[in-house]
Amino acid sequence: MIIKNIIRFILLIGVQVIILNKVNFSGYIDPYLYVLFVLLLPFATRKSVLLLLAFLTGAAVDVFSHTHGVHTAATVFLAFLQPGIIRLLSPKQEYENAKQPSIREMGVQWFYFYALLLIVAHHSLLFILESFRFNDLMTLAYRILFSSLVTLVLVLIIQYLFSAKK
Amino acid sequence: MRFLLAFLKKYAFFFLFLVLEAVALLWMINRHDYQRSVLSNMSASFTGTVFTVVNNITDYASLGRENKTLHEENARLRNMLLASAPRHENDTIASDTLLYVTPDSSHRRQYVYEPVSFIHNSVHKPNNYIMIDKGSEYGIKEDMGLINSEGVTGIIISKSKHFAWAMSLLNSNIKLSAKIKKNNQLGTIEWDGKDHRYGMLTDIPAHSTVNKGDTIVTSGYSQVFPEDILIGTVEEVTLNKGINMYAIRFRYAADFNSIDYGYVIKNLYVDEIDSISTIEKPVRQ
Repeated sequence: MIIKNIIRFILLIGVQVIILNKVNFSGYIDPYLYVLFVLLLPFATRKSVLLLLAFLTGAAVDVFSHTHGVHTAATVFLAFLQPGIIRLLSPKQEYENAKQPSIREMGVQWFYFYALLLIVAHHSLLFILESFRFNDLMTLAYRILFSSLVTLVLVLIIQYLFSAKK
Repeated sequence: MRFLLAFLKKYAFFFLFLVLEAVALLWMINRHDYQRSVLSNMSASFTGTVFTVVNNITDYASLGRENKTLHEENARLRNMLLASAPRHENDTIASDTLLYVTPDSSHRRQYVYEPVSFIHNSVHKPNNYIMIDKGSEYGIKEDMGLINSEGVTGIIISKSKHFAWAMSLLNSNIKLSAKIKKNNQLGTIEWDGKDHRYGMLTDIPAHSTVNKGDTIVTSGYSQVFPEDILIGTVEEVTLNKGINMYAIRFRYAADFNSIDYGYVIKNLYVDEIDSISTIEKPVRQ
């Protein structure tokens, strides 16, 4: 389990900084697929470990993309919301037998809402901190909206591709 | 005390969240000091090595286009050599440089060009940076200019032994002194963070005439770039009536989406000029 997570960490950060950071989809779309690493951490992960892992993930992306703590702040925020979102989506302890928040274990609908809420929260804080100017709120809103949607689609595609094999 | 510990334990998650967010925000705020620190040096060496490997692979894809650009540049330089034949008998052409070396002290050379390869670049962020494959080993320092064969691309902001980061012209923090070539009107280059093909030239007074297609070049008033290096061409001129200045939208000469090779411009007299300037340093970014 731990080794699998380490491999996933390296792969996702690699794909992010080597491919996705360089691809210019349009001025508004910057997908940040690396959040999938934090999204897929097992339910049993201690909350403090969750925060520290999110910090590490964000810091790794920051170092490679020269963004100085912007990704770190957004990813730690995502990890902070994660336990609450899980509780919100599964009030009856439905996930007692499940190990990991994935499509395979939790179903498409559950995972869709789980990923949507957290990705929008992450991208909102990220783009606000990154641009840090409020004279053009429409551009900011479009960036958050379109980038979140593309990240979500990528996350769902990858979940479909890899959930069948395991 | 026990109560305090229990309190801390109960809200440990929240406090840890606050601490980690504070660290991230401090990192954001102190980025300029941070860049000069040892940590930056280490991370630049590490990320630089990774980007070099990736770049070695992706370089093959753009060889054809690069070849063409280099060919064009060679042709232009050759023209320059012919156009400026030696004026003195003692003039010689140094084999490793593109300019004449004159024994005459009135023809003192001020700028040296260091060829570099761009190993990382982005165009669609609000603040874009370029990483190059040479660092302090080749004498590259902060505040040196970065150009490619097409025009100005950025300014060096931090370096390690083998690599350096430059702030791209596509960065909301960039402020570069520039002028309109035909009438020498001075202005400032900025970027509005939207389109990587277009930038803004501000502070051009409304009494001057500016037309679409006019050339924008470096002013030569900062110690970063020599005079008359191409930046872009005017695309759209609008009058800002409140301050009686033009807001000029221009197209960058450099295609930031496909830059692979360029030159760092070293100013040989930067320390000397700095040491005698008693007034505040001019706008350098």
